Amino acid sequence: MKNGLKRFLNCKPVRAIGPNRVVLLCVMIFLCLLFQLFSALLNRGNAFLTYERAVSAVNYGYFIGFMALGATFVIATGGIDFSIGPVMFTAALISGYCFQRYNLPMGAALLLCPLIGMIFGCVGGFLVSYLRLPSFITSLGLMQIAKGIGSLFTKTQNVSWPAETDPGGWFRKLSNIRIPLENGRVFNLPTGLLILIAVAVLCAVILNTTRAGRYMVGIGSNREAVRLSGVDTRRWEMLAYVICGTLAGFAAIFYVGCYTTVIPGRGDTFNNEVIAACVMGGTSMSGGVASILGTLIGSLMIAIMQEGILSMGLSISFQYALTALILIAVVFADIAGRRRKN
Amino acid sequence: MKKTLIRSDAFQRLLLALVILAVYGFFYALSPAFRRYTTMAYICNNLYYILLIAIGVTFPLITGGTDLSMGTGLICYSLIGSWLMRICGWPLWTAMAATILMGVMIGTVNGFGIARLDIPPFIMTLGTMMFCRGMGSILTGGLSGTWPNYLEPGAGFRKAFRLILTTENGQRIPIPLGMVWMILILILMSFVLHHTRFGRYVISIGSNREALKLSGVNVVKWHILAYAVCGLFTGLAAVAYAGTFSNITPGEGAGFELNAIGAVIIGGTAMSGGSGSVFGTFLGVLLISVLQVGLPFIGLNADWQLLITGCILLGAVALDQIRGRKGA
Repeated sequence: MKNGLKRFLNCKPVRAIGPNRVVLLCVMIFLCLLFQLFSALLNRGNAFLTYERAVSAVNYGYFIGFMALGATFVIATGGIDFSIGPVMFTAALISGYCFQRYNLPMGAALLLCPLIGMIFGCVGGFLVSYLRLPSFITSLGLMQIAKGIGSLFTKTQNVSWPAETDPGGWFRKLSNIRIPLENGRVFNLPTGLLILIAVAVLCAVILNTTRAGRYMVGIGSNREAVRLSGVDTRRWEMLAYVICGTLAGFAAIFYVGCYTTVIPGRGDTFNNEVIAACVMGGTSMSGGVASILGTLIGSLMIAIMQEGILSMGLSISFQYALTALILIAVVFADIAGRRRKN
Repeated sequence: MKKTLIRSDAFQRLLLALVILAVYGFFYALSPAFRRYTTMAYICNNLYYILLIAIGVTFPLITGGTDLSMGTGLICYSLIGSWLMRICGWPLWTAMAATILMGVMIGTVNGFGIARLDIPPFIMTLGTMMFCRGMGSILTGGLSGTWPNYLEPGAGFRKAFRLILTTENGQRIPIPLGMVWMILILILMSFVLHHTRFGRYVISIGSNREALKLSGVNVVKWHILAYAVCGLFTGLAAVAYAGTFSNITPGEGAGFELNAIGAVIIGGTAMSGGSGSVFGTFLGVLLISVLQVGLPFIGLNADWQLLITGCILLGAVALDQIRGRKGA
């Protein structure tokens, strides 16, 4: 049994994706079955493994996925970013408000989202890499500032993005195309998932093959060595935060594409899920190890969990508590695993 | 290292006191409403819970860690306290004790994860923060909670914070009695930090944990204790919050801890650990509270407060960084 498991983990296709990811996928399937069982037991025969639930789960997975891809770069450098969620919300608030009140064309509003994220990323990256402030407290400060700016800009009002049939509603096709079928039902084509995978491939190329990516991972594992070999570590570290901010802004497009309404002063609950997704996928909190594929699977896992909790008929508060426990467990497993290796 | 006058702690604290006076004077000059006595009482009211969590978090910060679970934690504990009283029918004093005990418990869990399992402090406490946020809402079913008000039996605990005197002509004058307890706690904790074994060990953990461990001290125990003390003060803050505000809403409280951490750093405790002072923390909290109460008086609403406290936090950390660089 143990030998068989070892042989399975050492065979070629498994090694290609990494044993960690394979285990994660198995856990994901197990979790789906578990949710199926428990939602039937707890919530009056409700089924979890349905097409609607799958669509709803990947909808949640898009924006978490984009944010987690960005956060992977920051965590790879050994830093952390707690401003991702609020920055995402601020981008959605400001550009949505511009679209509503100032008649900004939808295309420009969509471009504004990543731009706002990028500005926050630049500020955070500058403070962390050039002024050498601790990343966690800097991003917490930035989180407050992002929330404040978002609320001030919209005068503490909710912002609703246009529905699919309204003018400018075409942006929803980016995350989900609804194709009416002949029998009156609707087929949801998850375009957002395709875009997410495309961006993930791009991120993987940047992280694994370009100089910038290798430097970022190098900074995470041994900053001093990278610096002494003549590399301007500050510039590359800042770039990681800029990528993270831009992707957080990008995530805003997909958040509003699925959920329409944005409330000022929120968004910090997503940070936990994003960080948990990264660490679950095998990106180490201590920096120097990162996996884009793992992050992608981790984000889907978070999305499935969120859907599963709703399917069991429990409130969103259970999700906060559960994600917190998972985050601590995953980080502990990461640290304990690394300690054993040394 | 020889300390010049400008770099000495006393001078920095004097400077901070002057800044507080300047900010107070600024609001005083701009807003007539700010000049009333009731505003002063209101500042005190707003100060208690932040001061308590700030004193608490001074200890983890000195060890080089942090605690992000305080803000949502204190709301969660006072919600559970109100739930115990209103739904389970517990008497006030036992519910209050349970509230404080809950703080100690979560603090100890934080300490165990950080000191024993080596989980990074910000991740561990972020986890307990989200856990508290969820638990508070789950237990109370998402409803807000209340503690006994001035008219109900058990109002005595409110009077401990805010005594209302009625003069002969029917005027009601609030007396911020809580300040007395705060000053007593400040003196006590300052003594604990600088003159007891616990305090000295906490400072040594922050400056050189390995050396302390090699000299035969049970580092893990004292490290956990630092977080337990922080939890104790969060529990006390939960009581103070319930005693000064009438309504406790689930999901609130995120951000309190950032105000407190900002205040502690402004007060001269280094982010990297190894040094700190409780009186500095008090001055930092005073500055934050005056700003918090004063901003609405000059027409800046809660959103501006978020923005400004965020900037203050960043400014404080930048200041700390510059301070540390000069000292090295």
